[in-house]
Amino acid sequence: MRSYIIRRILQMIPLLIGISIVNFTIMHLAPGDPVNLLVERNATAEQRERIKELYGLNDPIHIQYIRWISHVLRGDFGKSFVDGQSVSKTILERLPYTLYLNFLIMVVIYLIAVPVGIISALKQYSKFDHIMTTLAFLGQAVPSFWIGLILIYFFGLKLDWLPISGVGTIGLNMRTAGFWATFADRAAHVVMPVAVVAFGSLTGVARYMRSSMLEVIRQDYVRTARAKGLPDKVVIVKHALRNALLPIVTLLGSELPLLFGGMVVIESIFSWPGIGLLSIRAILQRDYQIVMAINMMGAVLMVLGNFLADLLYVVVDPRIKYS
Amino acid sequence: MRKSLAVIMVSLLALSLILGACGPNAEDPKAGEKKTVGGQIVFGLTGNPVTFNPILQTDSPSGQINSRVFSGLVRVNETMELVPDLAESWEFSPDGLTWTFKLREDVVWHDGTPFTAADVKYTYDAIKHPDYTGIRATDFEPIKSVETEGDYKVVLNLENPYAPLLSKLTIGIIPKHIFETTSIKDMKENPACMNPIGTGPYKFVEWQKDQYILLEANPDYYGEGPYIEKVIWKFYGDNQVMLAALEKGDIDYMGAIPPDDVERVQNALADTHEFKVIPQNGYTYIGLKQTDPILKDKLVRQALMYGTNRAQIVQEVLRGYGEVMNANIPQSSWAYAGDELNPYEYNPEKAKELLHQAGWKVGPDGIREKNGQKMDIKILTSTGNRILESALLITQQNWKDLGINAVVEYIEWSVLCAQYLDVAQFQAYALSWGLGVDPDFYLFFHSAAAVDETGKLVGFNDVEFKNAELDELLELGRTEMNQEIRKQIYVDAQKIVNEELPYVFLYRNNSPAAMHKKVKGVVWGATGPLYPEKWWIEE
Repeated sequence: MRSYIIRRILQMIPLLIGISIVNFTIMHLAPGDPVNLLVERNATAEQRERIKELYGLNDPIHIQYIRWISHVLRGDFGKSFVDGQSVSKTILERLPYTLYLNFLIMVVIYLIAVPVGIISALKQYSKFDHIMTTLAFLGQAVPSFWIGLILIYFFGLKLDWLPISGVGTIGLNMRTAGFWATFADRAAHVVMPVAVVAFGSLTGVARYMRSSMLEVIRQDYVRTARAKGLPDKVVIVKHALRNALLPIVTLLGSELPLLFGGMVVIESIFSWPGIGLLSIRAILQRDYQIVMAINMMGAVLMVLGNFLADLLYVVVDPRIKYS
Repeated sequence: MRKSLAVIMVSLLALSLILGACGPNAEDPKAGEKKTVGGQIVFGLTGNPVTFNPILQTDSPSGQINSRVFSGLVRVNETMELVPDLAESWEFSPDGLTWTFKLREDVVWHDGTPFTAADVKYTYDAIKHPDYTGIRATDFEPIKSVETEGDYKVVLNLENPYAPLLSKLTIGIIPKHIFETTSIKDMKENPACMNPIGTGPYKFVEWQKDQYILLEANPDYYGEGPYIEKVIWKFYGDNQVMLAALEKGDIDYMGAIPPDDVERVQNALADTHEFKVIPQNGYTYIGLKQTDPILKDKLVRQALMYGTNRAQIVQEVLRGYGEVMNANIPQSSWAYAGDELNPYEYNPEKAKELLHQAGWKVGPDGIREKNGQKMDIKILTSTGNRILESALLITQQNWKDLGINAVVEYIEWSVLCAQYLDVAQFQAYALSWGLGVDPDFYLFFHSAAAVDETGKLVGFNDVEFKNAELDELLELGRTEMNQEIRKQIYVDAQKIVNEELPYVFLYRNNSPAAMHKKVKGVVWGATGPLYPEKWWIEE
């Protein structure tokens, strides 16, 4: 097992180097010279040359890459050409908002999806199962920006129950309003974005849970437990559920990158100051340094997430062994 | 010089009249209404500002904040004329080469340091520095040197007389004592670019990225006001959501309400909001390559103007919130030529006649041809502008009716610039220009602003329009300091543009804006609400 873990970690190194090269090269192949961020459109060739020289944009691309990656390894993603601020600082400012939102979303998804999946499986083809199946398809099919706007229209404008954007009321915090008022304010702001994303994704998890449960309750050992005369509750909770939950637990591992990755559409609609909004703005402004940093962060998390999912398999399923 | 003083006097007079007329609100015409101090105003923004350094700023969100935090030597009034701000008065030497500005002596920076001529010199020298990474180097090129005489006098020495320069001096002055610690190359990284110190009516308090920006009244402001205590910008990732925020009452002002939503919003908010139409200082056009075998013929270009139903575009696409353009200076400018231009009203018959005259005969497939060449025109444009897309659909149909095979190709912005516009390689393209305060358009249509021997674009004359008469007028317009004479020069220049047509001029859009009625004292200038320091809140 230990050798397996070491091997996996060693394998990640060339993979991540490869990703970083592709990431860097693609950004430099993209149309639009970064020097255009630093000079005016009708600057003379000499002015352009001077600025390129000053910012090291004249060096061959592999020299630029080595300079960039050696800083990245030390945790420094450089400074943005657009606003001159440290890229790492900019990203760290946004990360808490994305983590906060995504964590709540995941909790809500699993809290709802797991019981819904179980009930659907136990009462297969019942009215409840049909309604849930229909909702599942609806959630997958309807675009989230549309649901977002509809919610904003009804709950924000018509009913005026909920705030429509941002993370909190400006100037309202623990110091000015006390704990409970602040809590209620922050909660009101987060309801709609969480609801929209959860509606779109919980159906996937619920279906997963349903099929996993269906598979398990047809197993011999469940029938045996029933035949033993154990009460239904014990059979389902102790014997079936434990085993049916295994695939769900591993699903959690592979969702690690999603926890950090921003959601462009949702963050744009609800003006949520997270990674998603930052990345779409960076792309539109051609803020190369930020785009490269976010790509790199996503790649690292994806690789780690897969690794974690594989390890979780071992933890939850003693039959799987890596050597 | 006497002329400029006259302009200032007239502008000041006009200003006081307008303030007198608009200041106290219409329902209560009693003079001397009490302007209350306090309250807050909330604006909505969809873009993030990039830097609070006015000399590095390139985007309009930064501009909105910077215009309240910083002041320039001069500012623009509601008729787009230049009036004193940090400069009390100024004088041009008779040869136009030496400009002397007398500065106000009662100005302090937000950190309490007195403002002096050294700050002005520092700001202008920074823009002229070879390591400067901003977009104003060309604007300040005519300045040979900046000198100070004592603490409150600045002298600009020019290479050549250059009238448009005064309008560039609206740029905010930055504090020398804060920026001199950073090199010009690294100016962007100075913390003051995120935490600005200015001389303007509002002090910067805080910026939570993608959430809000908060400014508060500067009690030491040298001019009248400010009355409103707090100014807040809230950020929205989506325009429709910002519109909802306006309806909900989360924001007090929104500019550029989408034309499709205006009617509904106007009905919904009739009681609480005042709606104004803000004309765009710019225009949308189709650039025509003047060397193209089809488009080099003036008759063809005129036929395209007559044969494009621009009034229909304004009515249907812009829902009436716009104006047809016939040349390149909009109505809001003092140099607008107005009736002296040919309006090119939609006349497909006349267009067909002109094409016929030019030798383009309708072929068997309905497409015109001449000497075996088909009349194919390819219009390039950038992706993502819905209004322009609809306008081009109408144009395409109009041109097809004339027997022209017009194709529109949508290209991503940076590719469009890099591969077509900046190398001046295209047959026709459709885009918009945003304009400055001064009418000078040397960079757009002077032959020296076209491409050089190596094929590189020098200015913005990518259509390679060359007209000796216009060249001469544009050179004269830059050196002449008398505004009346300049106006005549630009009227003549517009007539040439209107006759020769480097572009098919389409429209400028007038965007409707909504301001909450609790905000009083708003002066509506040609390009938006002005003088925010003089507004006040009446709940």
